Amino acid sequence: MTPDEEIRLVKAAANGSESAFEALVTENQKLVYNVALKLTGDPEDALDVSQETFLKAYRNLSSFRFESRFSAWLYRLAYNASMDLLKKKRGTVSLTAEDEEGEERELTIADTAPTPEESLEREETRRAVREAVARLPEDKREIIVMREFSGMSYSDIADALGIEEGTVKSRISRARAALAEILSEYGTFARPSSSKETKGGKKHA
Amino acid sequence: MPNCEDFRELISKYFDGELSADETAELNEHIAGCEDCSRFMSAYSLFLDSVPEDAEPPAELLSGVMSGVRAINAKKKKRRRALIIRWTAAAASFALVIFAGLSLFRGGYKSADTKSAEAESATSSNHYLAPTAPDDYGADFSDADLAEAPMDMAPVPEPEPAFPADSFDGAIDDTYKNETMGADPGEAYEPEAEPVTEGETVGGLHVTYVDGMCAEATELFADREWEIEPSGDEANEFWVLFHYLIDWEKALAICEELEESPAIESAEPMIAEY
Repeated sequence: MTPDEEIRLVKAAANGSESAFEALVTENQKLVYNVALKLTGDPEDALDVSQETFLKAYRNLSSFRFESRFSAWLYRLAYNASMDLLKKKRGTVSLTAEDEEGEERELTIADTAPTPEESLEREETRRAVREAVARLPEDKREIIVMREFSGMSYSDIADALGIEEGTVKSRISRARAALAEILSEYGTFARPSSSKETKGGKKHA
Repeated sequence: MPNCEDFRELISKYFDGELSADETAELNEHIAGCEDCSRFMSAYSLFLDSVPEDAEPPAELLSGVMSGVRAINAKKKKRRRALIIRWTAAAASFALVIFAGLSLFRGGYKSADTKSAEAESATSSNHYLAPTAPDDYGADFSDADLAEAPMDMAPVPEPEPAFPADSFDGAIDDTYKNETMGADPGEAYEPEAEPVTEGETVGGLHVTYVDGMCAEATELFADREWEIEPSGDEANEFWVLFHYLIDWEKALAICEELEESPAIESAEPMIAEY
């Protein structure tokens, strides 16, 4: 969807067109659903968060200022709603973590139960992934989620956050280093990598 | 002396798949001898491999959202909204053949008799509007209906069933030109339980339909030739108002139909609330 098409649909939806809004939902549902799913780890929670996100957007359509793309706004709503849900879930675990500046931060993360369908080991790893990311300080977490969970390009991230692409690159490199530090605390990520040599590297779309 | 901080950028580039051949060699050389960076890279690789693939959202997502949307709309208080179609004519000709499903009325002028009436009424002006169609309006559409004015308004003069061009004195009331569409949703107008009747001015728009009869009116006036007077800001701009038609999709469809006519340059729907 081109930015112009998006703008046209948002305006039509704000004027009462249900089919215009339906087109916006169809266009963005995969993005919204998957950020919710990767943050919460639970398909039912992801569905709830996604529906909540779209309905919240619908109720607030008239206050959308077109300063960024509509999809970026939806993404932000979904991200925040997912984080809110994580904080609310029972069985929360309190942790103290040190960030890059050596400051101690108190973090509360959800203690999510593994699903019975998936193998225990794989589910444990995925849980560790979610936990590690949740433990990052907010500015680093946000950019890691956009890049590594949602596969957003540097230019999309720059656009969504209102910063330069160069800034995105340096922020990501710092965030990755910080995440690697956290990951090293988990046994599951300390296993030697199967590929010792670097080749081209992992390609992002 | 190489510092691992320096390699942080390179490592990040690796994970973006953007290392050049030279940089790849440089990085390989470094991690062969650096535990920390080696651990960084293997942990991060495992992390990336563990991020699940994108899943398809379930069908309930869309259906759930759309039922929610309909529920929100149903709850909204019934606000009076008028949907106007504004179009620009390609030629100076005012004669227009109407497509089926469209109701068009003359608008934007004031007959000589109502000017005195306006002097009395501080709040709104009365415009008598009538189609130029031949005598037969059909049984449901008597002259008396057209002449009916609401209680608070100054009286409307005796209507004429036909309105041939030569009886028109040529004076077009252009006070509406000073009002912007929709910006002032008729503060002179007080919403009442009864729909507005023809002849009222609402927020600068000349009411050009007959209330409650929109559906019937469209059938009555379709496929006839109409003489249309300009009612917008430009000489070739015309407005048609559909009361109660708050269906945006329908308005868009009508605009598309209008635009297919060679007589019409562009057609655009707008909404005014009152």
